[in-house]
Amino acid sequence: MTARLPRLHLSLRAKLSIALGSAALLPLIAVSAVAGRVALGRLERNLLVQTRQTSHIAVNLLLRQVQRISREAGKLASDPELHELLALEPSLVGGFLQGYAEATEAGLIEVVLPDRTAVARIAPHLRGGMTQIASRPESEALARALDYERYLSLAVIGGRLVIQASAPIVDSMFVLRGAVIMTTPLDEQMADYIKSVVRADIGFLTGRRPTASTYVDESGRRLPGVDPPLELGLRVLRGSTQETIGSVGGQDHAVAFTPLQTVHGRRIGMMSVALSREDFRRAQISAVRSLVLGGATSLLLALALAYVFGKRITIPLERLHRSTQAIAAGDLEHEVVVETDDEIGDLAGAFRGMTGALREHQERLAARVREILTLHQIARAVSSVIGLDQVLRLVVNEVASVLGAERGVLLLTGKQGGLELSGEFNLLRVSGEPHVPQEWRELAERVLAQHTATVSGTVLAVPLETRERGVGALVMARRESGGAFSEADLRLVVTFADQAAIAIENARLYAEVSAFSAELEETVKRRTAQLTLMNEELGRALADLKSTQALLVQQERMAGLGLLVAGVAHEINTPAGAIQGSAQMLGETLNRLVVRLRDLLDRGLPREEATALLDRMERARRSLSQSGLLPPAEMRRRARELAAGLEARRLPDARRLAKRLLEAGAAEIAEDVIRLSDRVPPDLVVGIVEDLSFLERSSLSIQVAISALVRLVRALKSYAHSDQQAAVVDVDITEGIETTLTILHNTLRYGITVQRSYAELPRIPVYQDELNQVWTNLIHNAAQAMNGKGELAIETLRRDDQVGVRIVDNGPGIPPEIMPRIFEPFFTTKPPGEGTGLGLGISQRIVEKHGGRIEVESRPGRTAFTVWLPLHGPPRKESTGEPA
Amino acid sequence: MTTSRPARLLALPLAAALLLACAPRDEYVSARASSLVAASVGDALTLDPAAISDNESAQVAMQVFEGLVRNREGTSQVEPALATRWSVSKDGTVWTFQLRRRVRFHDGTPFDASAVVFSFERQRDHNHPFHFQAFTYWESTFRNIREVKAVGPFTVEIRIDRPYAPFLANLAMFPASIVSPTAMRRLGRGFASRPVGTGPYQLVHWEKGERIILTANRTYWDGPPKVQHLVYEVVPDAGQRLVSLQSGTVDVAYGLAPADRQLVRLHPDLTLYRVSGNNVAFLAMNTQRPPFDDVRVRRAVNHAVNKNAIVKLVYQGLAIPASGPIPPALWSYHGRAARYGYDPTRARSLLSEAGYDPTLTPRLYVMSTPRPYLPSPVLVARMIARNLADAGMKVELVVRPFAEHLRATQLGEHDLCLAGWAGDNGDPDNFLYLLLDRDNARRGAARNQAMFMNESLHILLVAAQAVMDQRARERYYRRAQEIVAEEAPWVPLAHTDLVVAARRSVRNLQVHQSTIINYRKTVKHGAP
Repeated sequence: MTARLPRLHLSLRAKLSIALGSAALLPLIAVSAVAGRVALGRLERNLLVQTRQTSHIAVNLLLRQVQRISREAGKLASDPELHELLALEPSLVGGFLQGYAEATEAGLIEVVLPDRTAVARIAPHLRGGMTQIASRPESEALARALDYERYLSLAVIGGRLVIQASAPIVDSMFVLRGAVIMTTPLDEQMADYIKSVVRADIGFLTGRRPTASTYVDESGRRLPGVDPPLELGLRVLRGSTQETIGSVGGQDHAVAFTPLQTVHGRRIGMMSVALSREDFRRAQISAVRSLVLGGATSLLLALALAYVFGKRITIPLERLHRSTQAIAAGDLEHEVVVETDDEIGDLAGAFRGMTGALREHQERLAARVREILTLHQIARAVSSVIGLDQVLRLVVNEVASVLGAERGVLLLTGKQGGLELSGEFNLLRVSGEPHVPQEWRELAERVLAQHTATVSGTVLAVPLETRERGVGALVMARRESGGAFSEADLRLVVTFADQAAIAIENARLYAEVSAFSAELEETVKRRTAQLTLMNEELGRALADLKSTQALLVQQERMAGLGLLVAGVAHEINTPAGAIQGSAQMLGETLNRLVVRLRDLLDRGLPREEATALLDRMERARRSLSQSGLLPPAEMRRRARELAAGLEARRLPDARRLAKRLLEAGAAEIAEDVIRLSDRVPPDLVVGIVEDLSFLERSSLSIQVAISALVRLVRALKSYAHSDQQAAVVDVDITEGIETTLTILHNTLRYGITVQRSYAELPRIPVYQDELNQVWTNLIHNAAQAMNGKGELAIETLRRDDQVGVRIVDNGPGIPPEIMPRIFEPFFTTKPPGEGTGLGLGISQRIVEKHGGRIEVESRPGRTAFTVWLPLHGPPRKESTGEPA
Repeated sequence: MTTSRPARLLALPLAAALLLACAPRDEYVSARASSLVAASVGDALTLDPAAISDNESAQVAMQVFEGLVRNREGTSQVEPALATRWSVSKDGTVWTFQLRRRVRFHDGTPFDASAVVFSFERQRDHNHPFHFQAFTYWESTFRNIREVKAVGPFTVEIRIDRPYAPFLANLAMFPASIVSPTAMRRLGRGFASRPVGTGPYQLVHWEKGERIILTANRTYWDGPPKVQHLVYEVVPDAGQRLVSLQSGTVDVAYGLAPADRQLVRLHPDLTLYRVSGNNVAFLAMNTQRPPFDDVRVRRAVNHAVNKNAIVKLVYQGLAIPASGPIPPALWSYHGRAARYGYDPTRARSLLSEAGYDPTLTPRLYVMSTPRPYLPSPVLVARMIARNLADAGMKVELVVRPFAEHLRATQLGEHDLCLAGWAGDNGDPDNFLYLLLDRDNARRGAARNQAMFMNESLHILLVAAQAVMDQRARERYYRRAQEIVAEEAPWVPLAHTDLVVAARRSVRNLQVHQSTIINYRKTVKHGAP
């Protein structure tokens, strides 16, 4: 059975308000309860956290004070006046310290002699008796200072915590004159000072006993401070900061206790930092109260409004709701259209205000982001190396897009510089016509002349200037509908213009430098190509040489070949080594040079200056190839002069710079080095000059080496003439001898002087290459007979129808007993491996083939081999039928 | 279920406000708690371990890479790392290493013998495609390696040119790190800024000149590190490093000013790590020419110099007076070998006994630029000159920039010179042989600036290189130190301490003698 409830007839408004009320009430209560609890807990926790953080700051402050006192002690200890007084009249030190009292923060200053007697003591800022905290002879501060060390610690003296700093007094002769000790108690003064900064009550405790604090009771009397609970106090003295809630002067406080320790880590006390809990409690209560009251009021208001206005209210509410949703979704443009003339209207108004502010913020943020992005892009453009045109396009485009400008032109000064803008402009079109209105030109000229940026309505003009000069002007325009430019826009463009000017300057400079490096690379490439050609020629010559050698071997000229190869190998190796060495360094130097040139570019030198510098460097390089280096003595003299010049301009390392410049043959660059030294490190300029000069020298030395090689190969060719080896040709005998001497140059050049005495001889028909071998054998034998040192005389003679070649050495001579055997094959006096013993045998055979003869005379100090050849050449029958 | 609109209207902003109040802060706190920030003096230059020659780069590389062996915590002794065991042939020239299995590089490449061969060969073989430059350390320290080859998938054989006991100690240095061959092949020279190794941390981000961020290697074979992120923040100013440490924005600070050391000790939240450095500063006497060819004169100089005063004043407590060439923390250190106290009277009588001519003015060469082991060289030289004058020996100072000073003293132009050495591999050989053996007294390249040539010492030092038994080596080195003390070619001056400061919340920092900190086992407690 169910009781039938009477059916209530309620109005729509009443239903609405009941539904609204009950639906709102439950979550409101729940939210209030949760929020209240969370807020309370947080506040409590926050209080402890804040106390701990405050204590961190307080400790750092205290230590800064410690540091300050230590520095002061050090400064006082190094005062020469104090040194003098201690050496001459120690009794006056007290007076000296009095003069010091004003400036110091220390509580007590003592000066102690090395024998540990105090010579003076002042207490400028000490309330209590100074003797209480005076240092004892056995104190560590004193002992350390008298052992030459600075010392700094916290300590307990006379039951009080103090800062102690000491420093040795060591005079300019390194004699220990005594020690300075500064002691400052951690007293109320210190506590007050820290409180004045951190705005929390401070206390100092010796061990766990409070000794000084900023706490006062109701009557304004100082209290000693808070005692930590036993357990907690012990934990602090074990080294960790602890917080607790405690009562000071009847008020609840959150207190953090931080341990204080000596430099040896011994904990001797603590510092307390207290924040009043009352303030926080009041904040808590008011927070909860306003939460509850606010909830209740709004509930009542909701009910009342629902009841009174019913439907009228639901519509604006609905709108408001939609607006919040829209705004929450990020649509800040959404208009809150609630025009009622009540609280909701106000709310909507406030809401509008809020969204407006939000929008403004967001716009400002966006503008700032745009600005940063732009600067970033510009910066990137500056740092990455791109062409001038690109930079210019970038500049105009970026500025225009940031400002929402419709048109922008960048006007650059022409090559003549100055302000002749007309006709010399580079014009870049963003949109609209390429035409630049006359009034823009005038505006641009004006801003550049006056070094000022202007904005007038929808037109904005900014000069582009580097440090030295104006490089152009930037004019931007918006359509009337786009709105006027603001001061903020102007600021942005000015910032931007500074960057852009540098970019433009850099781009120009880069273009010039890259042209220069390209030219340089081209030169190197050309030289390399030449070298390759020469190398090929050399290769061919070597191939010739090889086949020649093959033939020599084939013709059983092993001995000659051996000699030849030994001599030639050395002659080839020297220039080849030089080429190899230079070539290896070329690539490296080129790389380094390009890096250095980039670096130079990045220094942002004005164009003219950079061009001039590079031109002078190039001139110095060219002149090097023409003039070469100075003689050493002259070089040293010039280096001294140059160094003096550089030193006068206070350049560091002047001597080394001078030497490097001179060695690079570029003394004239010195002026540039000096002039640019504030912007470009002298090292960089000198480095570039050195690289250039190295490139030049390397290519010169390669050329020299290659011509040496070519000469040698020519000599070899004429020596061996493989293509005509079997034929008889008319030759100048003297030429053959000279060729041989060239090849044997290496054997002879140390210690053998060659004297030539050549008669006028006609050309005679001979087997040229074979005959050359005779000369080689005879000259080589002579050199060996003299053991590499002595005089070699070569003489040519003519007698009747014969020509003679006499080769004379001043060696020990051929012993008479072996004289008859010297022409025997395989007879040798040389140690095994040094000679084949075929030399003279072969020579004799060759001379006999020519129809000539060899004569020998020998005594100690003079041995002469004379080769006689018929003027008309070898007997005819010998000249044919020889195998090729 | 639906709630009424007004309720939603109220609940939403409230919830949002609460979220805003707690979330970001807590997130920040937890991120901060799991990462460790170290303030370094400068940025790393390269992270290709073969190319490194500066301390900042080595610091980071040692977290990312490992070698076959490593230094045992806090010592210069060697223990297994990527190699689990090793043996050396009877003739002492072939070392065979068994490699650790199931180790992967940060990029997933499995670690094996080919990676070891790759890492060494690219440094040894000048024609290797990844031999980017002449690698400094290889050319000086590892030149004795003739061949490195894989003899199995997890076995590597290294052949050296002659028996050389410090070889294993060399392998614990950063240039012997094993790099990922796959990563090197993929990145080429780019490897130097995106290094891939097997170490406890891997690189996630490097903002040049600003910071390097490493993250823990979850699969590290020796157990993943406790600290999740390791950040090297460049803070060039020493004062700023201290302030950041005090305020808790960084956890570890390198390179503190000497004057700040005591302050750190006073701070309740900070800890000072002081490691006796692997270095020595000394006054070398040119033993090859008068008057210092006379041992009595050299002993007189040793008695004349007030070492304690110099070290205390100049190093401000950051160094200990040296008694011999080897720092006390290095094995085989022989403290009792020293015998010269400050005694000007004794110095004077020794000089007159030696018939020293007081009108001579020997030239004391000194560098104008501070060195890590000698902060104010000119001041030290002036103090020494003062001491010597008191004992009756006038000297003339010759002050030059470091490079010139080194060139001149290596040529033996000096009578006396200030010099120093920072050791590389934690082996006594690195001090005694290099600085005092006759092999290194060659004019022009003399590391032995005393030009000290002592046959007995030479025999001992060469024998100690060839013997593998450490106890025997220790005996040789102790005897060697006695000879050096007797012959007194130097006045040993100081061993500089290295100092690193950290927050107390950071535990288990392993600071090595080279100041390289190993964060493998570091733990960070509590909130900032």
